[in-house]
Amino acid sequence: MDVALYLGCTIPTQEYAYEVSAREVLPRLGVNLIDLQYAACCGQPLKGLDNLGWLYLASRTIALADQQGAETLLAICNGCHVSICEAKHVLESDDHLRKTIEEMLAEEDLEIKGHVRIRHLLDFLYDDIGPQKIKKALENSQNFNPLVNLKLAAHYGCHIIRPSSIERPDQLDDPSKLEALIEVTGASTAKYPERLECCGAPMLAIVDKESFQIAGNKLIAIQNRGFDGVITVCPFCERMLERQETISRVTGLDVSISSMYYTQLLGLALGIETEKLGLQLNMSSVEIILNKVTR
Amino acid sequence: MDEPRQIVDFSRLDFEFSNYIKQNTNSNPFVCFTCRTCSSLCTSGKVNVLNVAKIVRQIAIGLKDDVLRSKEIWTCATCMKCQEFCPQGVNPLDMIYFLQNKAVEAGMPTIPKAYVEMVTSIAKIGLIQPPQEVISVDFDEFDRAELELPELSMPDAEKIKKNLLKTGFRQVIKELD
Repeated sequence: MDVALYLGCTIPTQEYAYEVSAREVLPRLGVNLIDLQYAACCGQPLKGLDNLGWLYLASRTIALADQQGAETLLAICNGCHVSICEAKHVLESDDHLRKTIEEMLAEEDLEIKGHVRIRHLLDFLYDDIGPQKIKKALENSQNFNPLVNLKLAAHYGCHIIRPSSIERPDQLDDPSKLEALIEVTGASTAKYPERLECCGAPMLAIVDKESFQIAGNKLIAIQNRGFDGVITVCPFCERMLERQETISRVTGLDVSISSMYYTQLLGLALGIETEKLGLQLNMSSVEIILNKVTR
Repeated sequence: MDEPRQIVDFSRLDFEFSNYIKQNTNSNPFVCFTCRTCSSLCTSGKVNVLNVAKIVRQIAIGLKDDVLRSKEIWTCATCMKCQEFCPQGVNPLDMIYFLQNKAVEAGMPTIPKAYVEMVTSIAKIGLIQPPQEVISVDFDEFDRAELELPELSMPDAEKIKKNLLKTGFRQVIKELD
């Protein structure tokens, strides 16, 4: 299955662990990753500065995927995914804005055809590949390491389930795909009351102390409920939840729990070495999970 | 936010602005019946930096300048809960995005520096920042090459910049030039 991989800004310039583990794991599920060429920012963090500026950047990404003949555009960041999906909705529903954007994109010899399907890692794995096929890939893996001793909390992030006015990878009120994907690895999971809370990352550059408090409140709740770790699918969420040293210092909460990308977790179950999954870059107490999965 | 308490000056109300929001965005400040569902769910509200219900009411009664000048509108976490669960379809998040856009247009000094830096970087290289060196838990430094990641395919940033200058981003790109 060919997919155009769109990494956005944060993943290819800083959150390398997500990229490394995605490139390691997805091909083992029969996915052929073709990097989207000449990609720029999706515009999401800058929507507040100017709506047209945001729409141009997000639409440009769709136009690139169309131009490069992609059937599926895989955006593995929650922010990128919501940005592109919202832009697609605006382009389809507002002729005036669409015309303005088409004129801007024409300057770069780009045009919106609107053929490409937009996927996030979550719905791509759950709906396009499916838990059964992932299970088979695990069982066929020579180094299959079922993660039966782990109890893990799912952290979806806000932008993957909202807004309900457009199609999102999972349900607004009671998403369940990430839990299902966690269970495929052999680990157990449970829905907890703080599950759909925000990580606080979008506030970090504006009010850092308060954003650490938001992250700390969620992490301490997960920790107190007896989970071994938290699993994420967004680079902003993951980076925020990994900053536990700062969170503890700033908030006075004693936070110490593993946090990792789903692609890293799946990699562990496939028996891939930790360095190939970028786990050496993880700033959370990742040893809690690693000590339980090492055979 | 630590802003000095100021008694509202009701002599300078701007209903035109409130009506403009109602007519031109997905938000409607006038249908709010102050149930405060938005505030009770608000991520930034939980740490007392944003009072979203207050902003909706301020706009409904025409206090445009007070809101546009406030730092508070920039503390939204964009979690979208207010939008989803408002029983009246006020759409506070869309309103906040709109207010931020207008604050940029008006050249307010409250625009967060981090955003200005991001836009300026996009105008230069297409991304909000260039690839960084990161540190592992053992204090080893890593970049893309050391992690055997493929070279990044960078866009033609000149063309992007030209297009960005046609949008409201020009206000902030200009500031750094």
